[in-house]
Amino acid sequence: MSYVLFRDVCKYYKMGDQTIAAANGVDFEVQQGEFCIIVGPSGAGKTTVLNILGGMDSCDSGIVQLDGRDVSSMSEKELTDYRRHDIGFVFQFYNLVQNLTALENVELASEICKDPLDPAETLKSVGLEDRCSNFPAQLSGGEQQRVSIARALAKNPKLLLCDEPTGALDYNTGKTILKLLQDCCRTMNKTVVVVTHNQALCPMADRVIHIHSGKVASMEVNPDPVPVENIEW
Amino acid sequence: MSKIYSRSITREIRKSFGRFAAIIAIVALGGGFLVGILSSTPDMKATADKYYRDFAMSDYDIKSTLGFTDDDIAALSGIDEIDKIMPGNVMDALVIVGSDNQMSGRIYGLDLDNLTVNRLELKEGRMPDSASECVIESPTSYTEDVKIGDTITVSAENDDVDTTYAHTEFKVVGIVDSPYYFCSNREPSSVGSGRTGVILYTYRDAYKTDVYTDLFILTHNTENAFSEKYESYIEKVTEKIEKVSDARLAARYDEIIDEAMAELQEAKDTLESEKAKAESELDKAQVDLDRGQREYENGLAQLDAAQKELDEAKAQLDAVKPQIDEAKAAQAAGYPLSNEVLAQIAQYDAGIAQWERGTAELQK
Repeated sequence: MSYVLFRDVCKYYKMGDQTIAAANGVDFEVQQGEFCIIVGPSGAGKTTVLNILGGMDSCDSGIVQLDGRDVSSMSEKELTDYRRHDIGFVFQFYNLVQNLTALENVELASEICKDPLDPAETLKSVGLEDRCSNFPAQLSGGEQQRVSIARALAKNPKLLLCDEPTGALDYNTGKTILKLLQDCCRTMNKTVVVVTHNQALCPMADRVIHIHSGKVASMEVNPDPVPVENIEW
Repeated sequence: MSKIYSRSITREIRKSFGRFAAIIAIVALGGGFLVGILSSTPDMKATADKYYRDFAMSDYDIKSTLGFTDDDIAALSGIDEIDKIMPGNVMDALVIVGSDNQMSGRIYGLDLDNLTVNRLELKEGRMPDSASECVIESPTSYTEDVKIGDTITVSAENDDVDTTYAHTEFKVVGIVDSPYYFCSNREPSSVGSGRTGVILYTYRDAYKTDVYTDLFILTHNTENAFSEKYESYIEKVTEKIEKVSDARLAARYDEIIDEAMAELQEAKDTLESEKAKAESELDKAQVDLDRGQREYENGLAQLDAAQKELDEAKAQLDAVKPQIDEAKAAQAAGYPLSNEVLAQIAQYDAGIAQWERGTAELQK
């Protein structure tokens, strides 16, 4: 039984009298504790798939399951609970609350969920124990993204979703962020799904899903993932 | 709300307090403005309604060209919803203010001592003491300039002034406000220029007519006069009034026709009786005339008979005249006359005198 399951998932957007299929029969699965990369060109439907998996969007047809629960048939209210308790989200542009310090940003997330991790500990685990009382504006992009990851981890979610987490960062910082995510997966046994358009990242993942034109072009399991440090692009 | 979230809000407010204060002020101003606007309509309605209530403004002003009688009032009083009915006479007439300022005036003849409906509020001066005095409605920009002390005269140009009005001159002694004319509007008039120049209130004694032209009716309504509830209430009462009205209208029409017919009948009767009387008198006169004629003829015959008697008497006297003359001559000559002869002479003279009297009487 797979941990994450997508079965023939379709999502259509209506633009006037034109219907665009953002996801047109997506099929894949991810096992628990895997580091999964969804890769594909811009407009292929990667973000749509991630949004449906994260409960931020609903699919028009098909089945989405996480840990045996059917996400695709949830009501709005159930989806809210699902997002709150089961999903950790890391965005390309961090989405931190500017009026709260790094620690408070993490506390904000931990306050609303059932079984949170200690915020200070989590911040420490992402290497920011010294920047706890700094506001986002006082942090670099990489640091902000780390706060954002800490915020997602503090909720102790079943699934960590990352939408182009390195998109706004330079090469080296991006690398450290990816390393952090990979470490989370390895040490905390979290299931991590990363969306990226960077094909070069594929070797570091346990599972790579290629998406093209709203369909899964190929899915491969990598039995021997490479640490991020050894990848160059 | 979670602790951290409220901390975020407090910080946001503290960081941009000026903006926060400005937004609060704008919202307060907008809210206040909105509340002001929203409350002004109900306030105005409540104010006007209170004014109507305080001065017992009529719910109805029913007019009749046939005139209302006490029977009509009694019939309307039978409607449960009706509280008070105040009868009055209201007519538009050409009036002259002062010496030559002619305008159209509305003359209210009301029981001023007991105004149960449309109560007047005295603004200036005093209320009238009699039907030769009046108070006028507060002048507006649509009415003419009439002052306390002016005399308002009903113009002789009006129809039926003599039979309509008991008083044609009214001295203005005060100025009043009536709820009936609560706004300064142009008040149309049925006479003159079509615009009412002055509205005056006096006692009903000013009118000669024994019927009322208007009934001012106050209902038991408790709803605001501007509400839909009031409208449906009034609609209901209107139906009842109209029912009474139809019946009374027919009755009143019959009454007037009956009155006129009775008068006509009376006149006819009078005509007949007078005619009969005249005829009987005529007959009597004829009889008298005939009798007179007969009497005259009788008289004439009597006269003839008398003349004949006189003539006969004269002839007898004439026959004895020579003897008498002889006897008188002898007497004059100094012959003594026997007593018998003297008696005969006296008898003769008496006969002559009687004849002369008879002739004279006959001449007459």
